[in-house]
Amino acid sequence: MKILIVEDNIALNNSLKEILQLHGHIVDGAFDADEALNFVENSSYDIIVMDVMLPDIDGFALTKMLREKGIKTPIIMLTAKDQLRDKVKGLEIGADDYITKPFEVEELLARIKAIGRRISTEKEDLIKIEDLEIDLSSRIVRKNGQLVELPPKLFCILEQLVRNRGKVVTYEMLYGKCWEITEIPSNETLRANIKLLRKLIDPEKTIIKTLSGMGYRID
Amino acid sequence: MIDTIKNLDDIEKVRLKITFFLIFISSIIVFILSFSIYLVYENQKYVEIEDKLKSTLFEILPNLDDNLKNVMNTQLKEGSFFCIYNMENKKKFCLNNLNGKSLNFSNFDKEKISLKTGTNVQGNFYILSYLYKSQNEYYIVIGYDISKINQDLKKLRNSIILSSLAVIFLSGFLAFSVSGRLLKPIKEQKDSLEHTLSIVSHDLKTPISIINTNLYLMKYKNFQNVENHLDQIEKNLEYMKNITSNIDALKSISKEDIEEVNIKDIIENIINKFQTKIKEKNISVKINQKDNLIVNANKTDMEVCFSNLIDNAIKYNVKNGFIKIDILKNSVEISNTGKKIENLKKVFEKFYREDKSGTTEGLGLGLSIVYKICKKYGFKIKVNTTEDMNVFSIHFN
Repeated sequence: MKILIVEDNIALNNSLKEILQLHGHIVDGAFDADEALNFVENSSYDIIVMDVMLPDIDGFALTKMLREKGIKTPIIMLTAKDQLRDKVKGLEIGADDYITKPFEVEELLARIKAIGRRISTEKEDLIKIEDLEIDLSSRIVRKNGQLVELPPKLFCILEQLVRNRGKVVTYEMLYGKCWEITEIPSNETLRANIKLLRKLIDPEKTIIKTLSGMGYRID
Repeated sequence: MIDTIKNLDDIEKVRLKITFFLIFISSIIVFILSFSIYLVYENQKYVEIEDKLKSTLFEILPNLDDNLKNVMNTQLKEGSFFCIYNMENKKKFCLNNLNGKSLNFSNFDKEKISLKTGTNVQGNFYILSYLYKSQNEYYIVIGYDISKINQDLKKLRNSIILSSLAVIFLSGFLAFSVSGRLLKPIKEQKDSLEHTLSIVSHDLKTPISIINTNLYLMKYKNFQNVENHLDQIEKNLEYMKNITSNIDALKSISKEDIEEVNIKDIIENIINKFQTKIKEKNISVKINQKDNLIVNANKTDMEVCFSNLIDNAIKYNVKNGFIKIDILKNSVEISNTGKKIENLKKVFEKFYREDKSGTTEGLGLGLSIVYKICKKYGFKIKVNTTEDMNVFSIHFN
């Protein structure tokens, strides 16, 4: 999944980014609301993890702005504000979940997973397509029972195709979901990644369908 | 109503209890006093009437046997009457001055009258009954119309009730406002303590989260290549240590161990301690010493004092900023190129922070501690802003 972290504390932003990357997510980190807005408008995130106390405008106001702009990306508030009224305020404004600092990393990861399941068309974590077995939760892929090691970007592409099973996943969707905002993707790099993915999990080309000029699909 | 009372904080509940208790006490006092006044007044009125009735009786008695004409000419006060029952011949003679003077004679049935003596109230009349024996036996009833007195008593009763209610209301209002004033310092202290706790708790949460996430990463990496994470943990532990030492400094500042402290040495040590922070922001620091400044104070106090001032100058400074420290004959000036301070009057207040978002680390306690230390030694601390600098100065006496 592609996740945006909005946290002004550099150390916490960096360590969260590293943790989520280690769990196979594509992660961008914004340090203030202005940067976060810019990222959201120019990329496509599955989840936003947002601190409330930001230097320019606070996380509540930013969430409200995003919702007013019609951006429905699930938002997890991650904040030191632990009063009931703050939680209610955050959830009423449009946040999907609320975690108070200090938090347990496992809890944050579990909540991200839960939201991932909610937004996916596939409600199960374990998906079987022909001889391919994908565990979206533990990010393990097996082909004919053999473990296949996929780099984060390839897993992200596969995850997008699986989560949108039966639907076309466009190039833009894949650029938005599987490339960090600082990376500049091209059709060639995407094709090269798909080629590599097919080589690892679909050498017969029966699973990933190419829709010329549009994108890819898994049925 | 009950919910509102339940939602009040402890101090407000104590205030309400004090108010209700004083209202209760004042109500009892007012009730006893006003009831006594009413009874005394009522009793006095009845005594006056009784005296009048007795004087009429004594006027009548000597003439009963011999001179009934004199009895008929008795001067009756308006609103009074008397009846004389002659028990021998069963004749009754009444004279009244109720609506003008009138008299009548009649017979009466001895069996039908009760020969009660003494005073009592019958309807609107205060009655004195008396049995008199001379040549004949007489039963005399003298009455006085007390409806006007009853009206007066009713008016008195109403005004006593109204004034009692006013006194109770006023005492309640006074009790509420006085208890509010008396409890204000306690409430402020309680609020301040709760505020301290909430700020300390809030400010500890981010460093704990950073330590947590870095520990998670270290475990995830099987403790390989974890130098960066250890640095982060160390930095945040240091920050947490600063929070606790500042809280300690706020709690009590030592008064003992006064010694000669070289301010330049203190400042140079602090600058060395903050080198990492200074380099992170690429701040240049310049110390100008025109005179050798020695101050009689506690060394730890001076360390806490200048540590907070310099830490502040770094935290609120801009990137590539500048800190200028001038050590003069009897004063020190610390200037920084941070964002211009908006509220000069409030900077020394506990928990006041120019940065409202809480992004800049710190509790907003540092400068209040500096102010406390200066106040203890009689040093004068000032803050002012020039076009591009915030200047803190301490004048030692």
